[in-house]
Amino acid sequence: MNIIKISFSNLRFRKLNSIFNIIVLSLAIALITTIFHISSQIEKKLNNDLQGIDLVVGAKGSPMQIILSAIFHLDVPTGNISLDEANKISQSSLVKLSIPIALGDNYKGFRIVGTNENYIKHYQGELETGNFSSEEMNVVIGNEVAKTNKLKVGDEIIGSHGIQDYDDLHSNKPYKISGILRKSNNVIDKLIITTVESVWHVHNHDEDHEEDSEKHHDESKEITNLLIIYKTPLAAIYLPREVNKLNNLQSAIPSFEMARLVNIFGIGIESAKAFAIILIVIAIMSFFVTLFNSLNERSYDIALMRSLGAKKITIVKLLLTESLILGFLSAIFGIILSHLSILTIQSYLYQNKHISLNFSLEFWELYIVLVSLIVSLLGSIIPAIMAYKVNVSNTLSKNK
Amino acid sequence: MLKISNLSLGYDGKEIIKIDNLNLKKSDQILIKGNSGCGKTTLIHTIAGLKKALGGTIFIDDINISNLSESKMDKFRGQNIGIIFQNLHLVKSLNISENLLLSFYLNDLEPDKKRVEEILDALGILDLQKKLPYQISQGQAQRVAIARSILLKPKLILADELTSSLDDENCFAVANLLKKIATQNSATLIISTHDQRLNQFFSNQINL
Repeated sequence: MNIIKISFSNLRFRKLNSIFNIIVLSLAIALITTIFHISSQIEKKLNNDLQGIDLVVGAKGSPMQIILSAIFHLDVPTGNISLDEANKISQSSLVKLSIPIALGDNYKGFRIVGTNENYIKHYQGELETGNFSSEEMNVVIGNEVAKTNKLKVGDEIIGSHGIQDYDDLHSNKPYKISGILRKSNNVIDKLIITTVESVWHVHNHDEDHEEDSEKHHDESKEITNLLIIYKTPLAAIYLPREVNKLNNLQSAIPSFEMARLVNIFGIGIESAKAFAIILIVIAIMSFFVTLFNSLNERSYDIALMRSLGAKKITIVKLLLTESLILGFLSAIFGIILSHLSILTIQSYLYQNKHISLNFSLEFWELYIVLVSLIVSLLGSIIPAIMAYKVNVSNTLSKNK
Repeated sequence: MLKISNLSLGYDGKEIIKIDNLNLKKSDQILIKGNSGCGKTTLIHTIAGLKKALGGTIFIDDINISNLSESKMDKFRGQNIGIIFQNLHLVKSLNISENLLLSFYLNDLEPDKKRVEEILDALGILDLQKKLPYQISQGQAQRVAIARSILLKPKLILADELTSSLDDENCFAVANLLKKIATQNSATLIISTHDQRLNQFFSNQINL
């Protein structure tokens, strides 16, 4: 017999009240935990995928679309840009590193990206098996691409035109897998990386018949985007302006567009947070109302325990322990519920958007347990004070 | 063992009972009689330290309980006084065994399961130990309340209207049981009642 056992017996005896309190509080806890997990994961994911890219150059259009397309590979490109113009920008003294991106095809929803070796280096890509090959029509594939499609080195894959369409196949121009990357927890996990020349090769349908001069051929070459890392902070002032002066080019600043994106997301997250706070207030009220209502019935038990030698503080401890047990159970159920929801969201995002988020039990969830305990205590303080003040003699004399 | 002097009891400063002197020795047994509403329960609660007197003193084992702080009185009561209430209060969420073990916990004592079983066995209700209070009869609850009152071997047992709701057979059985138990434990026994059937069991009686 100890305080925990007595509290559990009391809670079990008032099952309905206990269950109701746990449901309300665990819903609030689940919502808060889910919001925190998702917002922190999105932030982490965005930062991992950005990897310090300062500027993206694309065809005229929406800067947000350029970022979503060129960095996160979530949207369609705004169009293509001339390789010549891209090269001129790359040669600027303000540019430390420039990486070309040529898009256009996909393999079962995974994008085929034509680029150079700097792209993989920039995203800290490491080989799990095979090798990097600069030979045309060879590809290195991201870890998720390999796992999802059960691909191995030496396999051939056939790209489809567009970024989501699986039907329009380039059947006569298969890619050969030369390497598979280790999981990097950034965007390259879901990409098929090849040379820019390979992308040109797949899309140059008239190649066999075209006998134009090499010079003419170079002038007509296009890429989709150019990713830029500045050499100096001054570049942030001049380079985007210079790019935008050119007729067909549009600069997109990732940090600026991300701030906009987070702001847009933020409205939804703030609404969900407000809803969670309302649920918490309801949970506090629920604890208060159920304990308050049960006090009349329990006043006999309380008076009896006092008559048996219980100190007033023992009674208060008993009531608070009951609330803390409810708070603790609510936290555990809430966190479990939250992780189940997150697993569902994770699976949905992976299957439908190829977005891989890595959720795990985080240290800060201990603070969520603390919040739950505080909520349960707040709801039970007034009833505990009332229990402290129970008039033992009067209560025991009542005819019940 | 119990020494009451100039005890004045009442509500809101209005006196309803006055007891000039009452001295009881160890193992004494006394019946306090009076009609309903005359203040018997108030007297029992005051001796138990659950209610403050308007005036006077109550000594239990040479300790003036009127001077004890609330928390000291709680502890003193738990360890020295066994009380059987008119309404046989048992904690509804605990089974019979737990209801008895609760006394140990509330008085910061190690739970003694063996003692609980011995007492329940002596009162013929060992088979009830896993039952919840709502699952037992009034007569059985009466025995549980008696078991609880003697559990911590109190020096003083107070019983308030112990038999008023019992038929003759149960009334006599409970009265005999309580007398026997109090004698076995060398405890002073005070029973307050308006039940005339108890007169035959107690030679020592006072009227309020």
